[in-house]
Amino acid sequence: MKKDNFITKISLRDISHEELLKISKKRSLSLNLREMLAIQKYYINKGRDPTDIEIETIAQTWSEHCKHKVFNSKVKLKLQKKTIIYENLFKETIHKATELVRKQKGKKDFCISVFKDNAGIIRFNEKYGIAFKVETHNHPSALDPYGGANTGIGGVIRDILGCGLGAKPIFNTDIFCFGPLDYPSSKLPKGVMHPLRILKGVVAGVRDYGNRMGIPTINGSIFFHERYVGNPLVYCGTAGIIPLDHINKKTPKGYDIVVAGGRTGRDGIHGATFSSAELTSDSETVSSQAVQIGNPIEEKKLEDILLKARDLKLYVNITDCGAGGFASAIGEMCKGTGAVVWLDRAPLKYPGLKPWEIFLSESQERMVFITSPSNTKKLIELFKSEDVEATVIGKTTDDKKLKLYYKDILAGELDMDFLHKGTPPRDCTVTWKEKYKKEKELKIEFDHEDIIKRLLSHPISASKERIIRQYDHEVGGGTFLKPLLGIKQDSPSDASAVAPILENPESVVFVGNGINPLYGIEDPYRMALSAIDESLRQITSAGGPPHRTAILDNFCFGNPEDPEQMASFVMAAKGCYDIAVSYSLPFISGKDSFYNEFKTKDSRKISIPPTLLISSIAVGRREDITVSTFQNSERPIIITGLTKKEFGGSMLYHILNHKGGDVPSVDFKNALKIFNSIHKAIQNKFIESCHDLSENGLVGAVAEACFEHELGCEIFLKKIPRTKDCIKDWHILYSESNTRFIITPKKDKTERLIYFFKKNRIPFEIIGKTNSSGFLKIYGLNSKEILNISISLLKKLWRSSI
Amino acid sequence: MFLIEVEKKEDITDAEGKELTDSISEMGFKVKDIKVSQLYFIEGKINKKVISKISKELLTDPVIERFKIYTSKYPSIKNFPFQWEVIKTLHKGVTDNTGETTLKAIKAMGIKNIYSITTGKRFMFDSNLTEKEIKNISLKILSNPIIESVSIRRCKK
Repeated sequence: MKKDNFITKISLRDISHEELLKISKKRSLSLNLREMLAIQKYYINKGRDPTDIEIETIAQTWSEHCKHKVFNSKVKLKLQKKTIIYENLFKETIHKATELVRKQKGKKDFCISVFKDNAGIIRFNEKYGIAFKVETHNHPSALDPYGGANTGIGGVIRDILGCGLGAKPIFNTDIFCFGPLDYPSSKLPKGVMHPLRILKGVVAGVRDYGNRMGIPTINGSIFFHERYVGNPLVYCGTAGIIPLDHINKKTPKGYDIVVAGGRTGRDGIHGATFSSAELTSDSETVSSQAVQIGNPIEEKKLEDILLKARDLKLYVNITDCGAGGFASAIGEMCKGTGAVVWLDRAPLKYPGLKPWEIFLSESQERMVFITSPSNTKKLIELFKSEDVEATVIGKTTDDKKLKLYYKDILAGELDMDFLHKGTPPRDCTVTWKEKYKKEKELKIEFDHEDIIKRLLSHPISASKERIIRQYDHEVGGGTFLKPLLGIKQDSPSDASAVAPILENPESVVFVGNGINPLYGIEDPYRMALSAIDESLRQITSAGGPPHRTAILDNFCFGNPEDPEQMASFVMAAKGCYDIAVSYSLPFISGKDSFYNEFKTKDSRKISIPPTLLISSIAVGRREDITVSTFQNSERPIIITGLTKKEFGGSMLYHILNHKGGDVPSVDFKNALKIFNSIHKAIQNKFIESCHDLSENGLVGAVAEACFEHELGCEIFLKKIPRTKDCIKDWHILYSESNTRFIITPKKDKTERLIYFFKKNRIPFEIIGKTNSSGFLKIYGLNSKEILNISISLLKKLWRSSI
Repeated sequence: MFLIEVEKKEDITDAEGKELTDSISEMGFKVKDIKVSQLYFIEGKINKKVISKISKELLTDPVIERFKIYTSKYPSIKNFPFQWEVIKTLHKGVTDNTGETTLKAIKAMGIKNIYSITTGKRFMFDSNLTEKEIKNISLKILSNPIIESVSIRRCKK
């Protein structure tokens, strides 16, 4: 190959703004004018033009995917009465909340590594930590649901493998948002797959990767809304366990850079920059390179040897090849030092790749190591013993430069400082208009029987058993609280719990999640409050300790250039800060994904509902695990928390197609007291079952709690602690107010539980009792029976709609 | 070049075909039956005897499957009891994991001189669909045009 065949110079120094943008578009760089100008200036100062590999590396390093430019922007937020200025939105919301919380906790701080590694790490015991990370893989999954989800889960597993000096995966969690499954095919925009096909593909992708890697998938959630038709959301999360003395990474100079695992091909080139572009009906064709193909068997082999090599201390730094491939992995590990890379030494799948393609390829199942030259041979031999290819492709230096060679020719040279710190900051001013428009009074005759049937059989609330059962949630043998409860494993569970070390099954890790895009449409600030409340409710009701819970944020929003989208994003971030500080919950890791919108051929823009996923994780005791379903008849049913008339974004309004209303807020002062009291009561062994109230409110929760043993119950609405504006039966039945639980005490523990709740001054009341009738009977505010419905009928509806 | 086709034996349920028949019927197309078989395209300096050994010992589960070997690029459709045949392969350059793993396994058997293995699927339709319909089904259900290509043949029953 002649030199000018594989390295192209790009004339950049004296061209116009339009031409700069043209280059960005033509090469799919997703760089805006300010960024292109910064690059132009850099090369004018250097007195030369960039090569293709340089410009591609800059574009990749500066991509939204890697740099989180939107979240790190300077924001002026105009509210009704005041203006808030964030010099750096991320630093002053998510990051600041975590710092404050860690300070509040003092000696009880359980965070070990936050926001700096591939995943966040919390303390498990004196020897081990738990790493947790949740990723999004939306755009690839829209194009190829199976491959997209497959590589999504594969990628997040590698994040865990590359966290610290390597963590061992212990469970997966997967949350999806799709268009409605009965969406008419004739309405689908061009180039968009039907939601049912996307669901089948995504589920199969997650299943095949997780199951084959031998990692249990223990938690998840699926949401449906028509605004996800053109842009589904696929969240993949993995947690791992890591010895505390294997957490620190370092990059000394003169060490070898080794790549191990799969070979490099053209897969997924431009994946990082592609994720910063909106999907159009042409996305199908232009981005065929953005699709990667996963190979779980290869990754399993990688995992096994990597952990062995970690324990033998054969390397000092490790990271996965995710978006941006080598460019991102080597750039990140060597940003403080410098590196030389010999691209022609990377093992290739087939000949003909240009140097920049090798450097940016997103071929899967590759990990990059930094190892002392005295250990390199041992490391490579170890990989070879399991038939995994490992090759030295570079060396670390200390000149703060990235030098890229191809067959002894310098293909590119970049200053690490420019590469990692040269991004021009983004700033914006957004205005948030509170939507306190007066809601139209809902005027319908309530047929409660009809409504509860419609609520429980709605795909959002219905049982996801058909999907959960495709995942192996038992492999590893440590899953103590399973995603489905009961002898027949057909009843809902609030959260899951797994023991990562089987020799010590008394310590378990609880995991839950909170997501509600219906709230996001109405009020993104309160969506954030509610999502965090929900994620903590799930942990608490399952028996996990609220004071040892950490959370992860995953924002998926539309185009941040659109002021309204940006404003709702800023409000959600603000909500995260307010509630995390109030609940004393540290964020340990997170991810944001923008440009989740779809342009149809007739230029209609559909952007997804503002969506925030909060994943919660807590280290607790196996003996505290509490089920969410009623276990015995003749037990009093206790509700905790206050019921308010909060219907904005509720399932009730959703099925009635009614707009407006207040999205559920939280009681910043007293909520934490409720969480802590319930946890103490569980530890004191007062509580037999505890279920949180979320979508579908009281009626949904009570019905679900009856499912396992097909018990029945009587509920008296007038006994429920509520605000004054709750004047109708439906206000109490369907309200989705936060921080509420229904609890049944253990035998003979009712009085002690009541005394305990009274002493702690939390709002609670006995609202009825369980029985063996198999019927859910509810008495209205006037003490007359308003609902009497068979539990087995409801269970059948709930189980059979997906 | 050799082409190996692995299909279910006559009395064994073809689960994949059945599921496809169901989901295509659900979409309103009239389909009596669909059969699915797995294709391996093998390039290398080897003879039919070796190919036969690979098919028998590696690629076929003798209890439920049987194999056919062709030396042509496409399987034969002589005396073919179906109306339509769709063959799906990955675009050039898209990673073929099944192919790569098969190649590794063949090497582990001690067989040399094989250059490449790519894989594909063959769908056989017992149905009077129109050409437009079969195209639609191929692109919307059977394949993902981003990573896969299909070739469609009409066969005389």
